[in-house]
Amino acid sequence: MMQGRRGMMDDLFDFLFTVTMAAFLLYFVGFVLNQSAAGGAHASLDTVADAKRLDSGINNLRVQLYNGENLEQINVSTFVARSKVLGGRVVTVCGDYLTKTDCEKDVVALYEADDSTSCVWKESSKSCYTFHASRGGG
Amino acid sequence: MNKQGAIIHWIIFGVLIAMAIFFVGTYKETTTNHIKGEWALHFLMDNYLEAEKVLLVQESVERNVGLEVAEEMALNGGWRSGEVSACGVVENTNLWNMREGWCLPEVRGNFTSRASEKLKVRIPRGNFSEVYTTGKYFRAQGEKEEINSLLLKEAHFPADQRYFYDTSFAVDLGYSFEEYTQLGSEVKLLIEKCRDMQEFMTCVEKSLPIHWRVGSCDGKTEIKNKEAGERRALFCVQSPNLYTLSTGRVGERKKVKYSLALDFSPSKILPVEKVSVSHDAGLNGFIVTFPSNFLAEGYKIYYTDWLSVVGYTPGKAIDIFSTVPKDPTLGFYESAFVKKEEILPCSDAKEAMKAYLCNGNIMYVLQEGGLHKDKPYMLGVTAFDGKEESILEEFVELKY
Repeated sequence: MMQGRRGMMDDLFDFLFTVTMAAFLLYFVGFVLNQSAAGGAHASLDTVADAKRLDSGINNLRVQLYNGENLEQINVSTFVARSKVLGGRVVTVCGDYLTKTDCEKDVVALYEADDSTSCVWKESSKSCYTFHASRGGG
Repeated sequence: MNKQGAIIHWIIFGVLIAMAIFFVGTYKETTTNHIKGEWALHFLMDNYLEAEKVLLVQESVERNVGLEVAEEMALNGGWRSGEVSACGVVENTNLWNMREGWCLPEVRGNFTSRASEKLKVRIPRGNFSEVYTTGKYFRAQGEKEEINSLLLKEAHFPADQRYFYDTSFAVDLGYSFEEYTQLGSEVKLLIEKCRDMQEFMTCVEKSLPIHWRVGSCDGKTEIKNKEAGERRALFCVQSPNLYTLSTGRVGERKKVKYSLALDFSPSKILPVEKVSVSHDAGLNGFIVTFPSNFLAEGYKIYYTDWLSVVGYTPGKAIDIFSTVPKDPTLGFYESAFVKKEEILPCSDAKEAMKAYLCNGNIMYVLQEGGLHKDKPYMLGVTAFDGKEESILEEFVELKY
């Protein structure tokens, strides 16, 4: 009688042990897979945001082209690649700055490495222009 | 613990060990952040956006080509740079007409050939056909280009990504070649109005539309060959529709200017005006002076004692002198004909019955034999172009 009772207790512990281990195992597997999926989603969103930035950069240059800028002599890829997001807007050239402060400070540092070029604000047209020291303006 | 219970424990540990081996073995692959939609994103970044950049640069080149050709043609009177009008040139400026003939530029054909040439040089890969303009647009049919990119093999996707894009374009130049039609109409009106005027430049200056200016667009030259009696003038015409062309800098544009030359050769031989006569006792005759006529093959000098002819001017000489009585005792008229090739260079020593060209004026020495000093005579001059004689505009009195 005693032996039969002990056997039943053993079976119960075996069962509880199996359930506990299985639960931990599933948590572990779920955690690993979840981390992988979340990381993948994050990387995808970063890439999509980057694609959007580049696409906006191209569109910004297209606007400059329609405003009369000559893009033949510039390296479009460099301009597009250095586009930066400012307050939800993509800034590619000086003309994309909307305020005098942003323009004069060149807040996204478009021409950080180029001493001969800077952004200047024209009050008459309330627009920001690229100033090329070598070309004497424009 | 019975045997059966021990087996269950070992099985669980076995499963745990197996899973541990699996995760250690596949750790890198499991934890690497695979980008979702990698194929599509790679295609977007390396194919679509790359194509957009290529098209953007090409559009800038195409716009520049269109603007350059438009400006070049305007400054060359509608012809390609270096091309010459069939009517000829004056001071490197193409003539739009010559005598009765018109040489209006074939603008669309000239634009197509020049723009095609430039596109071949500036976009060597592009193979454009049907290059033309409509309205303000410069258009061409381009071929389909391909961008081929390679996706890394680890992504387990097909490695080859190909994107095809159309290189055809329609670029707004902000300028229309239709303006040449308007200029052609203005030119025809100007020529019709002023060609048969002796002082054609006075007429031109009075009749010029507001956007026209006499002289070359560089401001150096005005009327050409005026001293040689040729009736040609240079004009610089601003765009009647005030079109401007981009300079390649934001907010800067330049005015469109057309440079052309016109020939105001009269449709019929013009009458001889400003005739003057002076008596030269040394030569024993009269010196008849009148301006040289560019188209004249010769001149006819009439003189008569029948003074009522004055009332019939201006008119045809044949009609005027038909009023002179047939009876020589009542009246007479005489004429002398001077051929162009018989006109001598200017000289101080003049001979009777000879003509000289002095400072653009013809000086003819009329012998006074047979004329009476106490009798009045009238003299008139007509020009002759080989086919017809000009009208006789006016008479002057022969005075001693």
